[in-house]
Amino acid sequence: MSQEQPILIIENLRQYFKSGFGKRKVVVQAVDDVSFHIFKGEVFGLVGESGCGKTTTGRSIIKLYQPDGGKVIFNGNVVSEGFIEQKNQLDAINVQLKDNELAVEQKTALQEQARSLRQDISRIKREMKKEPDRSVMNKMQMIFQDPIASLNPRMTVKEIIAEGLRINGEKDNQVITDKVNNALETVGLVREHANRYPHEFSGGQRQRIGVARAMIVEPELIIADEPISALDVSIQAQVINLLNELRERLGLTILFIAHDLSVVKYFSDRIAVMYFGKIVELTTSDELFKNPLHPYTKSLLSAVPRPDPDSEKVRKRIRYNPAVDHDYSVEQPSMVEIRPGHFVYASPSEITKYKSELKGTVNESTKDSVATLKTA
Amino acid sequence: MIKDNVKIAVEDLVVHFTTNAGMVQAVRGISFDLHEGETLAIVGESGSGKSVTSRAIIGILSPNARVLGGSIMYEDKNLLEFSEADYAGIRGNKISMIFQDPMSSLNPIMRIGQQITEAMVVKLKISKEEAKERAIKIMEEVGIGEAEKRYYQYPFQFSGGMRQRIVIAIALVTEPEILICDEPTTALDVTIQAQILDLINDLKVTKNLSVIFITHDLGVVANMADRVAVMYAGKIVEIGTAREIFYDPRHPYTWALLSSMPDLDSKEKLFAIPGTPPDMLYPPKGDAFADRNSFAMKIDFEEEPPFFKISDSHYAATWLEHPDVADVELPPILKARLKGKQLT
Repeated sequence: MSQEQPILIIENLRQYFKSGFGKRKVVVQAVDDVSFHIFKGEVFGLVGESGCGKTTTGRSIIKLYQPDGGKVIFNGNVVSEGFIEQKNQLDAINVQLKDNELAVEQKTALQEQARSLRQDISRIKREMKKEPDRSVMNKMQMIFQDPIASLNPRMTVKEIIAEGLRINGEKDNQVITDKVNNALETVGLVREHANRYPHEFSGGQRQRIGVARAMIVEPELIIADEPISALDVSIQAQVINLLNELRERLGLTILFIAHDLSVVKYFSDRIAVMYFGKIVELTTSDELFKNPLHPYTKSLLSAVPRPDPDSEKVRKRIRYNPAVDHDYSVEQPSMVEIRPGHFVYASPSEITKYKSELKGTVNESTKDSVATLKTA
Repeated sequence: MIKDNVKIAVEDLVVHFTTNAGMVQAVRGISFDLHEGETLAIVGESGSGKSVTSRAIIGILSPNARVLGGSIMYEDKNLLEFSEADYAGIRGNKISMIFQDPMSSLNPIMRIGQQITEAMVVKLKISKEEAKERAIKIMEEVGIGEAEKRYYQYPFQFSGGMRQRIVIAIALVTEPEILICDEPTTALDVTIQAQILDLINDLKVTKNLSVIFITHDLGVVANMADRVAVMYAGKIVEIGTAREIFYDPRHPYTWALLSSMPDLDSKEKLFAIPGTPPDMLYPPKGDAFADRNSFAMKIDFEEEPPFFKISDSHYAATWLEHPDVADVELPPILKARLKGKQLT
């Protein structure tokens, strides 16, 4: 899979939220230095508990927020970029420059650096002020969590679904009607539904409308932000099957954000586990469930209740306490590829520990490719 | 008369709601017993009447509800005949309830301590000082650190899991015998959910509670329940011990529920229940699930199935259990999952 071209590249994405002033100023680092790739045609699961920044990541990618740092590259185009790293560097240089005892050559070198950083920052500012390129951004669409809150109750289904087309300048009513009907049928609704209002539908049908709205502009990447958490069990399966079917038929790439691990496991090819704004582990879903390394992943996996009373009786929950489980006072942790396709956020000594844990286990993330090689 | 080890006996309970559109038949004759010290889980999708049942027990149905029949026996008294004044002696004291959303069940402008002590001062007629002492003790029991300090905080200063702990503390402060949990973890994360479930399980043992646990998450049911009642369209369609329901399910709706949920090992296409639940303004004739059921027979559309006994504790309301009906093949996804799992 690695030789494939990634459709979406996230580089050191940072999204901070600020509130208050002066002494009471609080900066929440909702997404803190997150990097990952999504390959074409895959389902990438993003899991973590609420408040870990998974939704924020999704929203920053589609530019609902302006990121503070890092880059989002979609189909080879930089769609959003932040400058907090450059700004921090610049501040550091400015502090150094205040030192009067610097040699002249050093000073000019620093000034040169500062100038290029300033240029970079103003370039990013300029770029981000521009209208986003619709032909690029349209290929990325989002499905929201709550199908009741995300549909305007005063608009008919046709108006809701067609809105994306109209924004893109489609004026021909016949084309709109055709496309809306088409989208409705794609998601398993019928044409007659077009003139009804959202309240006339059940939860599952409403989520289908949300999917149809995303599908109408023919996207390549769908960001599904907990699309099933607000639905009943029996309806959840309908929506998952629908997304699966669309993905197979249209070759969609899906970023699937959720906290329900059994659903994520079922649906995703690769999974990233987020904890407090950072990705702590990233690998294929089989590998993650067979050989979890990071203590948080282990704790998360041990918390999933299974529909099986006997295994529930013996299930042991592993608790995660970052203060106890990690000692980062000496060594700084970083994202390390511990074996092909399996990344974990850890310090060097932890890496040695994890490596010994992995000994004797099968690498699930490369198993498939080995198997296909053998058959070929 | 009510049996010895039975805490609550619900018989033929019928609850309808009057609305502008007509009578919504939310609960259409259900019966079950809650045994002492057990956890009975009631499972079903939204609108199946599971919350209405629990609200009927604790007497907090909305004003447009009409209880049209049946009885809810508690200590040889029928709760349905209770006046509001009678109920005040039971609700909170003997039977407590935990609600789904911990944010909306706490008063946002009242300190936590006051919310916990309120019931004690009113119900147990004790002094405020004593109430505070007890409140802090129970806050520690439900796992809230620095209880002394937390006592003076407001709900917004607590996280979701902590808020739910407060709600549990409020429910338990008057030392009830029966605890009704109405989807207490649906609004919470898996890790927090696991904590809250552990807490309820622990408290159940230490405080000798009998628990009615309402949920639609079968994983949670497997974790919590001793017995399970599956509800659909205002009726119980199958009731049995947790192992019987999970390893030997008999009703097609139970099959559908079990196979619509991905297991950590499942790879095949999920089974999605076709269609939508029936409109309870006009409940269907016969088996309510027949419309969405691929196993439905002609009789399912005409006549309602009675309960067929499978074992002493296991009953299912489906014509498939009739002795004249040939055995049917389980849905493949369920068959694969149940492989190697024995009931005994």
